[in-house]
Amino acid sequence: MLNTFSILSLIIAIPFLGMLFTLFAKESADNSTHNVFSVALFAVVANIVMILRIFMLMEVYKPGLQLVETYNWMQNPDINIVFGVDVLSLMLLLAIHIAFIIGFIGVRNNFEHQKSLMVWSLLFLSMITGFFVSADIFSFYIFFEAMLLPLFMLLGMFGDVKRQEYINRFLLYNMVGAVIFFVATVLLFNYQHGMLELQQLNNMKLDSRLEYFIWAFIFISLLSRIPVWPFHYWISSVNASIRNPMIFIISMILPLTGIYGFVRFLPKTLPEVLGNYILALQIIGVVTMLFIALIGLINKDRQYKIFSYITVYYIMYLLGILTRDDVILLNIAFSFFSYLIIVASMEVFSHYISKEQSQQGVMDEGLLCAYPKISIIYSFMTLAAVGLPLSSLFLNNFLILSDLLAVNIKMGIIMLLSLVIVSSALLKELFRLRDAEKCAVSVAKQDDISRGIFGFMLFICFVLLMSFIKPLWFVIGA
Amino acid sequence: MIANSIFILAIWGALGSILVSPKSNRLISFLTFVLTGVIFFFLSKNYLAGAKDVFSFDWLQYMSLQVDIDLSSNSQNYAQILPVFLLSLIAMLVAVCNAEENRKQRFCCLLALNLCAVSGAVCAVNLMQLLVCSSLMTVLGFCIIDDMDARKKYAFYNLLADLSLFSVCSLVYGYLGSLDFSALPKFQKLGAHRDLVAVLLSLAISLKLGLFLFHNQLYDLSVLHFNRLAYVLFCTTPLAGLIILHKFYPLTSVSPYALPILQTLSALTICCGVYNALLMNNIKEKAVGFVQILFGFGLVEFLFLSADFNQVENVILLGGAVFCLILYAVYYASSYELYVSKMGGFISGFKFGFVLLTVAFFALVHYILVSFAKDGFYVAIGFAALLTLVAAHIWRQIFFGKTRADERVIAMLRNPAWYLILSLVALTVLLCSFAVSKALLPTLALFVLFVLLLIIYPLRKAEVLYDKELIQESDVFEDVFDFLVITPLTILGRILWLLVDFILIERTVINSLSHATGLLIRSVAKLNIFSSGLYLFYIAASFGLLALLGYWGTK
Repeated sequence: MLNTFSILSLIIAIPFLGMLFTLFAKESADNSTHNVFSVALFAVVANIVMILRIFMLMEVYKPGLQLVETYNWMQNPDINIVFGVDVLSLMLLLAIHIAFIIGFIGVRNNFEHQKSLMVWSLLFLSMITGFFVSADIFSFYIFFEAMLLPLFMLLGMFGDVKRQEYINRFLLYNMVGAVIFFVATVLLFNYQHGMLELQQLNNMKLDSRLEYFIWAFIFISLLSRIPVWPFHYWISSVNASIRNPMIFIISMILPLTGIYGFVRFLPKTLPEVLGNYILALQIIGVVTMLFIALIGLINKDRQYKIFSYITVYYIMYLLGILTRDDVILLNIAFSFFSYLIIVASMEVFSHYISKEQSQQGVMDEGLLCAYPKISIIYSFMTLAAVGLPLSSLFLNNFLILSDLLAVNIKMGIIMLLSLVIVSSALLKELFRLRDAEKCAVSVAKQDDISRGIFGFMLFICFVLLMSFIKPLWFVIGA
Repeated sequence: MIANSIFILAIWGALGSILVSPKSNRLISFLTFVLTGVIFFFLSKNYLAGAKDVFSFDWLQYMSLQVDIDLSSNSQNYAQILPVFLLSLIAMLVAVCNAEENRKQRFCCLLALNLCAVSGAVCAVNLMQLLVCSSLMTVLGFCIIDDMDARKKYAFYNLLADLSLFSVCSLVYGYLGSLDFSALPKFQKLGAHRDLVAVLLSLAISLKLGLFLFHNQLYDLSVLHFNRLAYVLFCTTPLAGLIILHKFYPLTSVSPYALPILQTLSALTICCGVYNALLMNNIKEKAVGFVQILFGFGLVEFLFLSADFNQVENVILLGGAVFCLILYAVYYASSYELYVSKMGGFISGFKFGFVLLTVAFFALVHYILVSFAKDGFYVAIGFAALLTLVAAHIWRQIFFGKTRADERVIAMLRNPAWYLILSLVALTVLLCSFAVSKALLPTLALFVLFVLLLIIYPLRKAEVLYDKELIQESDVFEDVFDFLVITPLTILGRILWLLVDFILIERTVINSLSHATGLLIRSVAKLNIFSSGLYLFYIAASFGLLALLGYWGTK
């Protein structure tokens, strides 16, 4: 170990230790598994505290990775594991952790196999934390692959995906992406004759022929995580059919790894060879946005509407990242923070509505009128999602879009159109759920969410509002 | 002063709208009214004294981005904010006193918050502040509208308007690199895609103002309580549309499209307003029609004749409020009778009310003539004559002729409530206080015209149209939008979903891949079956390959 300050290793270790504790936590005889739930929740909260501490330790607006930790793993071949963070990775980590807590709320009453759910979820959290703090190509690859294991287990065990073949395709598709990424890593490792830190990619001069292939491999492997047309189908089939909010949140986070990969891999000044790739990506991106937005508009499944919203926004962020502007990258980080929280909240409450609908045996039209607390939270989240000034999405999306419109007006217009369509779809769904005339149930107050959860969700709304006022409001002196 | 007012109202409004208690409903709403009244008093005092102060702070500052919030007080800002404060005070007073308003505290506190958003929009010196305040006005308007059906179109139209404005600001910022309004004239030189900017801006303004083509959102609001309806019509998104038009006015000249679009829509809005004010049976829809006429006229004066924006704003807000209060007073007096076809002959039990409403109406007519005495006076006279025609038609149906009302309504006919009388008197006095002697003769001439029209009743045949369902109930514009926008998008979505997702990708590509993989697996499996022939074939093939490689190697 070359340095002693290991706070980044610690945030990878905490969920992992949490997983071990959860694994050994005793399940109660009456099948209520509060022990397991509490341990898992504690691990996530503890990690949030650590992440906030890291914010205090770093200079938030300083470019480049900070708090770098280097571990020498092997001498021959010389492989070092390097960790480092910047505002982007930390904001994403914080949002993911908060999304996990929201997801836990969604599954707190699912007592069946809750231990397995918590164990695999915490393992995924640990792996994805490792992925976001990776600062060298080797650890980046390890975590890129490692997070697939818990994901597949979770999908297989709890996804409730109706057709097994969807999961097989999903698995196959992601594995192929990971293998291609492995080839790119090996090529880079051989070319460099040793370890390569992600920051060095900016200055790396590659042989023009090799460069062509390496970038093709990297683009394909990273895109395999993002539901881009025409490969969106199996991702959408799986995501739209997941009936467990925690798993949905986890699978929703997966495309983020592809987008984050573009942030870390694309050099500041784009090499000439990337021109064609980026043009192709822009075309595919806008086609996907419009395509999925339109399908989301007509699809009656609420889950698909949320999925289409997620996809459209992910691709907008991806196209924003391709501009390689530091201010835009920072704004994407701020925007992502609210976006992940909003989507996680919407999914959890959408699942709650669906569950109540099936229990009551009624249509879901007007159902929110019977659940005033859920109605408040769901409405807030929908209004924030459609772009009203209730979260950091508003200001930061403005800056991202202004940049994209200046870069390519046609792309910008299609993007705007897609945003209008997905926003309309969400708003339409909200009105449908709040249509008092069609509400067929009168639900007793105890069926609404508890005061504690309502209070927590109000706190989340407060966090979102504060992120609108100042994105880094929780960092003293930022 | 404006900054202080905003902070006080924001804190009060936020706490009051969150901590709602049925016990303190009336008390808190009354206190909100008093607080707003005190602030209004001090703002008016400062305005009359010509006070100025500068208040600006950095909202966001990182890397190359800097966004300021400016809440400076000057006579221009005071002049634009004060009418909104006055109308908010009237709305609060009505809400406090009217028993029909159940959620008094929440309503009054939302009004206080809306005042903050309006003040922020008026004081805005950069795109971001205006965009945020305009969107906040949308959200607050959404909360003030307490009916789900009424919210639907309001929400969709305003979402579209806000996103259009968002796009305009994004385009401008993308090319200028500056958020300040002072940089907007540069867009004419540096900016690109000006036609797009112009069309999007026109769309945003038209949607916000509820101009012709987008006016049905306003008619959907007629299910609201009269007080809420009036407030939403003047002080929420239509007002935001006016402020946006004022602030973005330099951008209307970047392309040859923006001004003609807005001018045409304004003129058509007047026609649409007249049509609805004359033919709608519902008294609230008549009020909306009248407001449309005022908005259309204000825009015509501003866009065609470059009238002073403050005058235009005052005419629209104060004039519209007077007319809404007049119709509200009738609605109240007739025990909440909604349909004009069930009124008539009210003058017998409503003499004081009749005189008061007529005086208030002519105060409004006089104010319009005085306001535009310099710019477009003849247009103003023509417009006032049109208003007189509409008013005379409505007056005739409500106050004169044979009564068509229920016996109960006639028996319970009463004068308007004291708070409505007080509000009307206050507005009438205010309108009359502007240069009484000016334009007195045209006002008197219009009064004579009014009396003549009451006697002649030229549009009496229009009464039969109150029974026509096609006119009263159908929403042609919704059907048109459905046909032109929603249906094609839905069809396209279905085609993409079924044809591309299902048939092309699932049934063709994936199935082909699946079958190809199956074929490959079966072929490899067959190759692995042990047989002497295959064994010999593999050995021969290996030797052949080695020979081939050897040949290439020596070459």
